[in-house]
Amino acid sequence: MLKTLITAALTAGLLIAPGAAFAGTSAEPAAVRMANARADIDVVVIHATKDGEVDRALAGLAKTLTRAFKGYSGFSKLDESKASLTEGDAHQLRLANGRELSYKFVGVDRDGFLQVHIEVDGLRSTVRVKDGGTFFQAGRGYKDGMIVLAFKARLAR
Amino acid sequence: MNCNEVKTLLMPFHDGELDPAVAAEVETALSGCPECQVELEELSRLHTFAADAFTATVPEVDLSGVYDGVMARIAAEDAAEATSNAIEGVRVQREDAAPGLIDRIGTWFSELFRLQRPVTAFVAAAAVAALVAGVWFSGSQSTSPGERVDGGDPGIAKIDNNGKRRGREGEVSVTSSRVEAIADKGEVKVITFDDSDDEPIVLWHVVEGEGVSMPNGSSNGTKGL
Repeated sequence: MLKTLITAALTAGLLIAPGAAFAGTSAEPAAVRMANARADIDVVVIHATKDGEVDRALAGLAKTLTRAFKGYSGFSKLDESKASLTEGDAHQLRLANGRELSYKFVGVDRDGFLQVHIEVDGLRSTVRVKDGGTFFQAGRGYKDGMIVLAFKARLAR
Repeated sequence: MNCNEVKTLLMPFHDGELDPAVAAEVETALSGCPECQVELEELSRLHTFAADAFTATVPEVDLSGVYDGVMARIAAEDAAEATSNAIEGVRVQREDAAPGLIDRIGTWFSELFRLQRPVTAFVAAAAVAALVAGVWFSGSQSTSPGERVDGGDPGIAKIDNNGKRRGREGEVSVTSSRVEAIADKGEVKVITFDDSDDEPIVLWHVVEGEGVSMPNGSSNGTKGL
């Protein structure tokens, strides 16, 4: 009997705890967890075309690029930028199409995601990406192809 | 007899192994060929050197203990190997007279999962089912009102805002594989890239008239600018 009562109490706890946790979900990003965090953010500016081949300088991204951008076979490296940013620091980069890219390291949230704010030609987005993760921003036309920005963000150790 | 024939006969000629008639011919040819004479002299020097080498005496070496030494060394290595593989000892764990609290809780849980306590097992299964249902229910409600995110495989995250421009920050969580998110110009959006499946994630920003179109299959409510 005692064991049954203990079991019922544990069950009630299991039911209540997740509900309480998810009830507080909001669209706001989680609060910054790590103070004075520093992130290394690498940006590679790539010109993607529908013909051609992958630049040797992009060998490390070749497989990901061909998977992500179906219909594009030519990828050439236009520029590269590496920045080590503390929270709130921003870095600017002039792109080949004359636009300016600005990216800022917002911080690290409670879940360990790095928050990177990107502004390019009117697009403003904050991206949550895992430590060491890579993502792309693409879609702006350039010559006979488009500009692809490859971002890699990782915490500085 | 020419020089080539003489040279092939020099060795047996020097060793005295030729037929007398042939030896006489060789000797006649040698007298008229300085080159053949030089080669015969070289052959003779080589023969002398070899003969001296084979007959030279060497210091005596005592090999009487070699066999015993080698056998002793082998025996020692075998003994060392046997020792290294030996079990150093066996620890005996004393059993306590009565199980402790931790052991009893562990036994109780093991009985639970072996369904030896059916009522308790049923309650635990119901709790797990409720937890899973709670997670699923919460997940289906995580998108903001007026915003529908549909991720297929392969798919495009379609953000349907009924054509209205959103002025507030929203969060889009992109977790399906090969799902790309579109962000409108001028809007701030928090996009989470969960690349746990190592699929590439693209943040598209397409502007009409620049010759770039969205990937096939996209018909989202958000137009490129």
